Amino acid sequence: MIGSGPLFKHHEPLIANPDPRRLDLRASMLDPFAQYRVRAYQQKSALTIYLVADLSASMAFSGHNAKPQILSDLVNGCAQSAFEYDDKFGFIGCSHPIDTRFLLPACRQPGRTRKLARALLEIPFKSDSKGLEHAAHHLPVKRSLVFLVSDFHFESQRISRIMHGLSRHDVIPLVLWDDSEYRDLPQWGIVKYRDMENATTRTLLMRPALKQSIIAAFRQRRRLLQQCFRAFGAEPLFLNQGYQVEAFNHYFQQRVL
Amino acid sequence: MTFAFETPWALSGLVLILLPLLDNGVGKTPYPWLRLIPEDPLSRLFSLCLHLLGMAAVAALILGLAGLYRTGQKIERIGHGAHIVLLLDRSNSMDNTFAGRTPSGDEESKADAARRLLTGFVDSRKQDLIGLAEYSTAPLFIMPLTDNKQALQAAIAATKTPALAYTHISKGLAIALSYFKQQPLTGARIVLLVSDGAAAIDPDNEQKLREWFKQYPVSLYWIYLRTEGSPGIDTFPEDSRNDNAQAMPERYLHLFFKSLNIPYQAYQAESPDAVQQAIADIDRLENRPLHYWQRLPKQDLSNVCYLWAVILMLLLLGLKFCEVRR
Repeated sequence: MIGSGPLFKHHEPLIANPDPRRLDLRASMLDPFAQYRVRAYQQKSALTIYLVADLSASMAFSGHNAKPQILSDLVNGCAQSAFEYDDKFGFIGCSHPIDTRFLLPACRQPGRTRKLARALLEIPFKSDSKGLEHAAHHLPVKRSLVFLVSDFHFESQRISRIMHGLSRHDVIPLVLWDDSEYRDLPQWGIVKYRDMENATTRTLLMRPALKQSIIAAFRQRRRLLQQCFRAFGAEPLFLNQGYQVEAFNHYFQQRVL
Repeated sequence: MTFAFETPWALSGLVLILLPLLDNGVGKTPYPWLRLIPEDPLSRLFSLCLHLLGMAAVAALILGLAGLYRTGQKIERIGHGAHIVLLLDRSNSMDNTFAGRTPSGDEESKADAARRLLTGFVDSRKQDLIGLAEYSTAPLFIMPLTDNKQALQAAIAATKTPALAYTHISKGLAIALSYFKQQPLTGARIVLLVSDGAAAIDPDNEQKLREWFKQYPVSLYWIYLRTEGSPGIDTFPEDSRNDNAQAMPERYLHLFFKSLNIPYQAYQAESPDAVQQAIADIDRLENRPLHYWQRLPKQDLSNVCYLWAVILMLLLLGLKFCEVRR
């Protein structure tokens, strides 16, 4: 929002913003149409950023990157960039039931967020993902930017319910998947997988055809998730290689355009 | 076919068969959400096979431990041949040659000749049931009617030991006849008496023998290994005072056999070749259909069980190496 903040945003013609105090002579001289250019500043607005994280058992998975580590990096990264712009950062860890130890109300205290990031590496992930549906109760009434972090390995109806609950906020779903879940499966061999949430097991006789069909299933799942989130006006960000700042930059550039 | 166990209580270990049902032994790898992996019938079948392999391996081990065996049994057989009881004289004189001397150098005693020829005879009668009895002062039960030729050869070879004492032929005949007591009446029944002399049969025994010969219809072949100079079975004494069973037992035994009204044939053999002739005759004559039961010994199957357990476990071990662990 343009206003009287300290952050420069862009130039505007004097007609559009008739405030001669902000006249930029250098920019006016360089203007090919010889018009007066006025500096526009960004209105200082305190934004509240929330990280709503799924702490269900499946989030303990570690393939190429450990998901708890990614979560911890996300907390540090988001908190740091929030504090740089003087925004508030809050965290809601959704186990079931929600554990108050992993509730961080919006604040500007780097010490608390760092402590939280460290604690996330040590907690046992063992509940299911039902807690995500209750996250909305812990969010402020004011519209906030909410990063919804999960592997979204649950029914899509539940995703719809969660998104309904968060409809008041600006939600960015971050999908934590790992290549070792599907792309880097072995071509041949015997594997027995144990479901991390309900402890059922399946023995698989891995072969190229089965691997291809698993990759296809994940591709289809990805499309389904995109459709599901787009229905609520949110575009999911798939983080397959762990926490990468470039992925976020790229995402936000696309979002602004 | 019936099976039994050496230590049946070890079968309680069969409960362990259920163990492989709980776990197919493949190491578990955590996975976030199994529902995303599409159904795969081949993998399901493979997993089932792993369970079954494990169960079979445990079952084979337990059956081996319990000592599985197949019980001894009888097999009904039909052949051509006869029930033959070889009745061998083991009196002292059998160890002499046909010339009545102790054998020296290459000479063959009567017992040796009889042994050699009977060995050949037993070999040539593949389908007969043959028993072996001997007599001296007392009768000797050696081998019941059997088709186990190996055992028979061993029994005949065992007559190599020095001969015993006198000749008590009536008891020998009695034991030979007793061999037929528990045998069903099929095929021909033959008593092959090989002796080098005879003895008088007292009236009591004579009466009993007549009864038994009537009871068990047998053919009687007598190979009389005649020593040079001794009276033959058809020799008529010059002096009528010598015409009695004590003086001429061979003649009177021959007469006794003849009076039995059974198929009877006597061979007077004065050399090993003549004995061969007698045996060839029997070989030719007695060949009728024969119905008998063959006994099979109990068969230990625990080795087979262990072998299968090893095969199955090696298979499972091989599959274990195909496992992908993270």
